[in-house]
Amino acid sequence: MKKKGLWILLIVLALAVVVYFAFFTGKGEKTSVDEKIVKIGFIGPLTGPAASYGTNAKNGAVLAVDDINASGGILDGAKIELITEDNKGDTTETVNIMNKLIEQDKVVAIVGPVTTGPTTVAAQMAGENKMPIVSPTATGDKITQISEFVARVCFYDSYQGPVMAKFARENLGLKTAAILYDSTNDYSMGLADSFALKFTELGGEIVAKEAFYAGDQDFNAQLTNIAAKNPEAVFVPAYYSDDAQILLQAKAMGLNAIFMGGDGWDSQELINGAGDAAEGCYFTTHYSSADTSEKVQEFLKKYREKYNAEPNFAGPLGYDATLLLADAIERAGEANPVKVNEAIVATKGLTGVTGEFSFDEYRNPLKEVTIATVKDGKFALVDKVRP
Amino acid sequence: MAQQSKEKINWDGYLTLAGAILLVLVNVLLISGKMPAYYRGILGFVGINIILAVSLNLINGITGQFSLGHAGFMAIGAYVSALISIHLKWPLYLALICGGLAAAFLGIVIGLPTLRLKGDYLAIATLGMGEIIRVVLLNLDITKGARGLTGIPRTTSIYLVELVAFITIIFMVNLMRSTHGRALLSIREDEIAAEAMGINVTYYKVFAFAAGAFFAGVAGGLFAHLMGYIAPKNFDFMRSIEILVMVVLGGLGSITGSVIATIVLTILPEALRGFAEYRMVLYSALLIVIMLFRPQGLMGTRELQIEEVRKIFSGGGDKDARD
Repeated sequence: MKKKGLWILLIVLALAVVVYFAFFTGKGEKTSVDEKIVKIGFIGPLTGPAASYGTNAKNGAVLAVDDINASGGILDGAKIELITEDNKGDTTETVNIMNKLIEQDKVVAIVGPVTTGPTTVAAQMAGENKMPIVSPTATGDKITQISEFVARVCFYDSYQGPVMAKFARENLGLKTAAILYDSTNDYSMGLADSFALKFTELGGEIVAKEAFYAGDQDFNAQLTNIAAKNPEAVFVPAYYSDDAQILLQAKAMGLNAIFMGGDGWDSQELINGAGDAAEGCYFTTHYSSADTSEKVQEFLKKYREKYNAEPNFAGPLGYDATLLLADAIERAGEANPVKVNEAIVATKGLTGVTGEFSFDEYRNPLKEVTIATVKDGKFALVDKVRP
Repeated sequence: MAQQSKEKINWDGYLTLAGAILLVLVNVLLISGKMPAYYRGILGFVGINIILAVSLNLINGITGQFSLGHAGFMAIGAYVSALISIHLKWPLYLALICGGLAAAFLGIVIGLPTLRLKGDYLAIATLGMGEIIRVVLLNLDITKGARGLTGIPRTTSIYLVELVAFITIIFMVNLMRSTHGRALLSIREDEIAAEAMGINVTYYKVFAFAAGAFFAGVAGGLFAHLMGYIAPKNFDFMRSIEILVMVVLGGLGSITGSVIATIVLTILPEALRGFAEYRMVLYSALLIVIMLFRPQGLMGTRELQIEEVRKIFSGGGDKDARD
């Protein structure tokens, strides 16, 4: 009987050794990647509350890869392979994905993450692993300061807040403004602060500042407080689902002010949700589908053909981030992450769908901000400004 | 008779043995540096989740008090220890202990009034508590609100996580075998009978709550120092549910069950990555299937024990009286 037990132990141990050698050894030596393929990773929320941005960014990135591969690829005919991973907008998942992309897939660079929280975590890991990441849409002010391996193609929060403040003060000539922001959201807070700062600096006055929580359905209390101060403009830096509700409720109580916001407004859902109430509002965004420039229209045509849907701003930004990486890999001359990052930093005057950009010292793009409005139930381009 | 019992396979024993071998193997890989960072990262989260699940099991499974606020205690531990590390620059272990104590203190303060409630009512009260903690964190200046806390030194090592998980399990096992543990179990089985037998029910309920909160707080601290960045979003209601699912799936009251379920549920989403968008659908479907076939959880109230392994070597299981 005792012998039987020993035998079992031996068999289990032998199995363990086999498993050990099968899974964990030899992986390190398989570094000779097929020379004709350059792998790029993509991280974004393809499920969960931010999925609409993640999916759009992914679609944009896939389009860019298709375009580049169709026109002969990079580095003398190598094809780009995009490896997409879903992080649900979650930081823990992002850590796992970063490790996986760097180690298992051996990517050269990564497009993403899409939202600011996960990008903060990914940025630390990018620095530690010397892996360049380019976020299409993470607008948090400080994320690119975390490591020199982080860049982005969207403008940051305190870049667009002042643009709207300047537009409200100088182009529309407004003197008083109220702010209604989402205090559970870092993006909303960043925009609210930078708008307030610039607006008062230009001689305007912030007469009311009210907060709400993401997921609130009833904004009447805050809107009543705002209406009591009778401001000419109400700045609402929030996402379209909240914005639509706010616009509807403000109209219902007869609050007569110009509503304005940031790139979170840029979704067809805003017009679908708010209807008439959205008329005449202004918001800053990354690009406008009403822009008649050739680049934008060509992108829209391809996007509609492939996905049979309208992109929001994350689509073109995903496209541009991928384009930027491909361009950097080409200029680096080889698929080496550190060299690619040097090339990213040196990017000058690259023209993407969302405009022409170069980088500032923290790898934030210096580019035009689009101001859009809603006119007759459609988005319309108002102006493109450089701050 | 001896013939019959020999044929009965001692599954618990084999499972324990396999677990022990796996543990040794994992550590050999870790120490030899052969384990890829991807697996190492997942292992870290497994360890933290084990601490959370086992400590919630103390409240929900062993004492039978249905708590839905575990993420709240985790958040307190995470923020307190992170702020201590950032501002006071104390060493990690002190920060972790302070985080745990802060969570335990809150557990006592909240536990005293709410533990008078039972069942669903207690569940709602603890759910509310978790949300209050999250909203307070969102609105305080020192926590940087929704922007999250950055710049936390990333000092958590995988060995530390393992060590704390080990300590947590040992604590729970020893507790279960002590007078106090028996008292907690008796409260789960019948509160009135327990009180009639002279057990101070309020004291023991609050004790379980505070001890569970302490370990959750330490787990939060480990999490904060592992990620280097925390935001209130990390500790929302869904996080509490995730931990609860691990406990229920493992079997309410079974510590080894919690550990096994945690390992499975933490690795599963990563293992399913190949299915892309259908990943979470599959994950949820698997949960449903498991609960359909084993409504009492993977382990029920049983435990895996070294004792069972010895039975294999001393000649098969004799009378298997365990259920």
